[in-house]
Parts: sequence; C-alpha cells; structure tokens
Amino acid sequence: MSDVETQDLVDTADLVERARSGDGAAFAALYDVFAPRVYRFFRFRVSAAEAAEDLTQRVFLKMIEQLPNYEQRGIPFAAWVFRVARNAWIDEDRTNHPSVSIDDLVDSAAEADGPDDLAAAAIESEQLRKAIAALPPDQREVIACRFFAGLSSRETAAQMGRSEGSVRVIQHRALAALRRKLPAVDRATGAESQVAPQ
Amino acid sequence: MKLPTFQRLPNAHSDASGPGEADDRPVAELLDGYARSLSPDDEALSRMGAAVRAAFAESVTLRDAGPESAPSRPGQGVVGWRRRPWSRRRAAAAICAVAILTLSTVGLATAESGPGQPFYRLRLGIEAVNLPPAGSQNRLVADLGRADSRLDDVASSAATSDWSAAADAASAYVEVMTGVALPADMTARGQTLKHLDDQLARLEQLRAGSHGAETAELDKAIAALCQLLGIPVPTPPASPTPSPTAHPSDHGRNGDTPPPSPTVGESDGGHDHGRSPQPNASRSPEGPGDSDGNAGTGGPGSSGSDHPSPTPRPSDSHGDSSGPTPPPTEGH
Repeated sequence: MSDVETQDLVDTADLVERARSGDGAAFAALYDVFAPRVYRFFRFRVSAAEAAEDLTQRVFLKMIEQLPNYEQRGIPFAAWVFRVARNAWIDEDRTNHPSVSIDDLVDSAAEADGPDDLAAAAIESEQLRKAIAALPPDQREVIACRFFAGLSSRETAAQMGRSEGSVRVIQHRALAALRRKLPAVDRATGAESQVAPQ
Repeated sequence: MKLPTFQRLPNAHSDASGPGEADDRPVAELLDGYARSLSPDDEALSRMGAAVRAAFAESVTLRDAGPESAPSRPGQGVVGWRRRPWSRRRAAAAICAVAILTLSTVGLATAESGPGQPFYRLRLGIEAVNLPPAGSQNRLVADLGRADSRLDDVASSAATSDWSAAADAASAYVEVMTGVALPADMTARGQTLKHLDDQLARLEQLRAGSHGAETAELDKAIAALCQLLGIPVPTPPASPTPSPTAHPSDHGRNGDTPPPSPTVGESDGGHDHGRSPQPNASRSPEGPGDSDGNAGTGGPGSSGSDHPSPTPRPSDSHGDSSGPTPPPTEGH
C-alpha cells in the first residue's frame, strides 16, 4: 500500500475544491488516494485485471464529468466516489458476467512465498471468493466497501444509504457467515477459543 | 489448511466492534490480506493514472475555452458535463417554446376560424366536447344555441357572397340538428318547436336568397329540420335563383298582393314550408294568433296539431284573401 493511500484521514474536501477549480495536482492527489481502493473494489468481483483497470478508469472519467456537480452535503467524498463505482459496476454487471479463471486466481496470490504457499493461497482465494459471492447482496456490499474499498463504517453507511449501526450489524453477520463457509478459518477460530480461557 | 500470509489493510475492520469481534478477527484478517493481494501494481496505477490525468487536463482546457468547444455528446469526450446540461436545458426550452407557439397559433386560428376555413371544423369539434350530456334539457338548449350560431354563420357568409363558407356552415347546421330530439315535456316541447319554427323561417329566408353552392346544403338543412318537426319536406324549386313569387315579401303577408301562381300551396297565407318566410304563421304551439292578421282564428282548429299539414288547413286560409280560389270559409 502506498504512502499516499495510507493518508486516509487527509481532508479530501480541500483537494476536491481545488480539483473542481481545475487544479491538476489536486486531482492527481485524489487519484492516488482512491485509485487503488476503487481498483480493489472491482478486482475482487472480476476475473481479469484488465477489466478492473477499465472499470477504475471509467469511474475516474465519470468523476471528471460529475465533479463540478458534487456538493458537500454531509456525504463523505469517498462515499460519493464509491457510489459512482457501484453504479459503474451495476452497468457492467447488466451487460457482462465475468467468469473466474484459475490462472487469474493464481496470479492474484503471487505474493505467496513458495510453491506450496502459492497453491494454498490460490485455493484459499478461490474459497474466499466463492464464499463472498454466496453472501446476500447487502452483506457482499458491506464486505466490498469495508475491506476492499477501505471505507469506514460511516462512509459505507453513506454509500449504501443505511445507518452506521446497520452497517456494523451487516458486517458482523457477513463475517460470521464467511467463518462458517471457510472451514480452515472456523477451525482456527475454534482453536483460539479453546486456548483463550487458559 | 494453512492461511495465506496476507497483510492487513488499514481502516478495514479497525472500527469493528460488538460481541463477536474476537471471532470475526480471523476472517477480517483473511479479507484484509485478500484485498491486499488484489491491489494494483505500480505499472497499472501509472497506466490508469496517465489516462485519467490526461482526460482531466483535457476537460479543464475545454471548460476554460467555453461551452461551445466542449463535445456535445457523451461519447465524444469526457468533459461533456458542462456542455450537455446546457444543451439539454436549451433543447427543452426550445421544445417548450415551439410547443407553446404551436398551441397558441392553433388555438388562435381555431378561435378565429369561420366557416370554410381550415380550423372551422376543429373549432366546432372543441365546442362539441364541452356540451352537456346528451338527452338532457341543457344539451337541447345548447344544441339549439349552436344551431342558431351556425345559421348566423350561414347568414354572414351569404352576406359576403362567400357561398362555399355558407355551404360549410349549413352543413355544420345539419350535423348539429341530427343530434337534436324533441323533449317529452309538453312545455319544453312547445318552446322547442317555436324555436325550431324560427330557425325554419330563417333557413327559408336564407334559402330564398341563396345564389350558390350553399343552396343544396340549405335544402338539406331544411329537410333535416322538417324531418325533426315531422312535416313533409318541401320540394325545392328547380332554379337556385328564387322566383319573385317565392320572395317573402311578395305574398302571404298582407293579403293585398295576390301571388302570380294561384296554387293552393302558395296561396295558403304563406304557409308553404317550401319557401314561406313566415312559418310561424302556419303553426304555433301556443295556440291562436299569427302574424298574418289571423288573430282569433286559432284554437283547436288552427293549432291543435303541432305540425302543419302540407295541405291547406281551414285555419291557414282563414282570413287570407290573396288567393283567387279561396277555400271554403266554414264558420264565417
């Protein structure tokens, strides 16, 4: 993760205002903050990295179009960005149903150390992807916003049009459902629970 | 199974709370690691960033150049945002203006249109839309009023020698009268018959003065009215130009000018509905009295029937000294 991306608490309002007035540097800073997150938001949904890149670019082009119309009305800018991303995904999903390729899964786990780790990571990623895909839509959306887009509970709530408490409840249910669907995680959790009292 | 060695993303579940937080942590860490593994590499970020920054710079350039230089369609560039709303507003305003102008023009043309003009029928159609329900007394009154208006149209058109317009108005009159029915109530029926008698008189006057295309339509109008009144339809004269004998002022008025054609039909005190200018004299729902000086000859003998007989009635000829062959003067 880049240093720019970790500056999650940067006051984006100033950047947005400057970008609206045509400041290229401010827009570049916004891109640096949001591009990786938008990319991950799409990347876990599509099989091909090129498709995620295409969708990410589409979101930023849409942002350029709509940035002059953006007004700070209590909605965090990040939530606004991911609303644009969500709409782009809905449009994409209507016309295209991407499939998952095992090669792509192996590529996505390329950070693992050795061959065994690579295979294990690929299998785990596949299981994780399937488990997420099997979640109800609202739980899937919360997982996408919280873990892949890196939104806070408040930003996720604003993006989904729900309350912050509701987002937390949905997130907890989603994680519990994933735990049940992933045996390795469930066993690890069980072992921790057994060890913890001692 | 060994879990992948993913690293946590900041902000992913740092604010997770609740009773199941400890149980959620392994899954959350797994998700964090998985999300981390899906991050774009620097090359992809640079590639996307170059395209996006170029698009932003282009948008700023075009925005500064003014709306005219911006693409008018979304597919032509990424900065249509400034051009398109303006174009949409302008297009919507133009459409509204054209619609208002068109409707206003048509409305004015319709309101001002007279017989023979393109919007005359439209005007009558609009007029008919607002009529009271069929069969009601109000509808009858409205229809009679419309019929009067059509006769006014005929008269005004004939006055300007616009015969085709007069024919159009007469045709419209016939259309109005086809929807008229006599009411069952005797009082209303009497008033309606009197009104229709007046219209018949006007029609006959117009017919007598007709010179052109409206003659045939006037004949139809007279026929329609006679049919409504239940009287025989008179046979129109062969020539559209009225003969002096048929002129209203020539006979049947004062009894001192004998008609040149001393037939029964034309010597009955001007009550030949074919061309009589005074049809009221032949039948009056109110009873006795007419405009021919026949006062006192009414009563059951003269007005017992709503509709005049085509044959001379004793009351019709009563007091009429214009005919050379007066009918029997019973009771006198």
